[in-house]
Amino acid sequence: MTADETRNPCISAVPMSPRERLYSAPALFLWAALVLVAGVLLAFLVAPIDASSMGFSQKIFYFHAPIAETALVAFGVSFVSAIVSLRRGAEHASGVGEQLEVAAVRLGLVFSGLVLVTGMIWGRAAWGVWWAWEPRLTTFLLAVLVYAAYFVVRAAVDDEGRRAVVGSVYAIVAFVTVPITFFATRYLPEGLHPVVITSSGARMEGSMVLAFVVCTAGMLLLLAALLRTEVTIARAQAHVSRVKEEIERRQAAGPAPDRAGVATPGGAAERGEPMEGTGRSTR
Amino acid sequence: MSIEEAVWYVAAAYAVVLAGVLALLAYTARRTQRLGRQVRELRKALERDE
Amino acid sequence: MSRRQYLALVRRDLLGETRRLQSLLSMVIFAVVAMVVLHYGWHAGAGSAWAADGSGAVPAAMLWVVFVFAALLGLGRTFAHEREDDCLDALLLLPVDRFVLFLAKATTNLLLLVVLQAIVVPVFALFFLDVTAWRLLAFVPVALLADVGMAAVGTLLATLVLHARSRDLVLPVALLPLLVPLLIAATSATEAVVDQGAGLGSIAGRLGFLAAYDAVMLLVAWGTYDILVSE
Repeated sequence: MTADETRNPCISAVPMSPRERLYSAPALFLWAALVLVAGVLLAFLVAPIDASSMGFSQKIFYFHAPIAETALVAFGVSFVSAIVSLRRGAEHASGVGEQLEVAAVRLGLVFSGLVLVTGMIWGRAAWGVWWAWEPRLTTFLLAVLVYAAYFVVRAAVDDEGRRAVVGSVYAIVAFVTVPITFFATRYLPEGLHPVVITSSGARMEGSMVLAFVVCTAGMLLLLAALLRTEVTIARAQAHVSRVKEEIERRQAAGPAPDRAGVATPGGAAERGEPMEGTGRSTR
Repeated sequence: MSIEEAVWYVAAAYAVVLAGVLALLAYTARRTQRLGRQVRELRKALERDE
Repeated sequence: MSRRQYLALVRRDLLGETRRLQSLLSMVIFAVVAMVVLHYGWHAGAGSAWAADGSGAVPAAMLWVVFVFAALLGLGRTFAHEREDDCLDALLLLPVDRFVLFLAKATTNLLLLVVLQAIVVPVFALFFLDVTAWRLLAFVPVALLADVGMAAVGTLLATLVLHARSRDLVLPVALLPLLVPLLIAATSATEAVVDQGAGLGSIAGRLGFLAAYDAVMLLVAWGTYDILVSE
């Protein structure tokens, strides 16, 4: 057992029931829910209707933009995770870091899809068009394509260790492409007249800013909760696999000699868990 | 666009977001359940081993 | 052959081959990216050499669409020699820094792309363009910088899919979205070159962007190639 596993109550109590022990993640979910509800209330009850031609449809902005930022944060997490995995070396590439990276990409992808859908709906409501080649929509369309390809690339590699390395390298390249695409669409094409769907009116009043900030915080909390859960699941699953392997190894080696009371770490793990059913194991 | 029409669009957008979030939560819940099942099986295997 | 046999075979094929459905995702991604590339290659600038002609002319930037798909074919062959003759391990035994390997492969790809362009661009200009030859020279730095970017990213990705299944499908799907910003800059610069009325100063910004793109991609390759190639 590594040090951080013994410190983490979720892992040391894994044989109990992960659901009972995921207290930190559920707390985050609760916070996220509260903050998001507050955000919605602020957006509809406190913030005024936008004075520009967008009118009531501007209310979509209060989720469209926070989700966009959350998606970018998620991709950022995958980027950092990929770098950390690669720096540890090829042998350590797969494991919890890889699961975090995959989960972050998956979440970023889902959020990006939501950005596109809400952006299209908003575009239709505010400007009458379902699609416009404007910076944010185009950038997120690219992000969806690039990160969908992430899964295609990973699926094509059969070897697990190599798959982790390939995935991480691709995650790094992919993340770098996103801001580049944004700048390309924003500053380069001329002769196009992009419909600026993202502007939120000439001035954002204080209450609008508040609603926006609260919704952003809520979405980030939701992301944090989901990622936290992913990490815990990944660690727990790794632990479960290791214990299973240990059991099989001992069964293959033969039952009697291993139960002679030799205080091997693996033996303690086997015998300690069923007997010490409650509380945290101390190892 | 009048407010009456706009309301439908806003409602649609929020509904999509809600659906997306719920889908994510359901997916996470299912994985947690699967993990719980694995752990229970492991405990049974350990107890059998004793 | 009976109709039932035919239906049974089709059903077996569809249901049994989940890989076919996975390929569907790849094909969809490819199609959508192709459309994005086409969009940015389609919109002619205001004073384009075409506007007056009006005979269903092809915008100059279409050159890039044609070119990138041709380039895909060549980039896929980056490691073909090593794979077919089984000398990848021998290559890795060489006491060279991995990044040098990358640079060597990328340079070869770059040369291939440059030669391809040197042949294709004059032909394209002959068929479709109405622009003075010396103005076309302004296209050279654009082409070179874009080629460097394509070679760099292409070689990096070719290495990524080196041991992958169905790599002929995976490489384009993975490479094209990453090339989109480069293509946007290149097509936009090409429009400026071809447009007789536009000043050439606007190209400078695009060149700067292309240079930045190239630098970033080379940096990523430098940082990751070691671990990518080691086994």
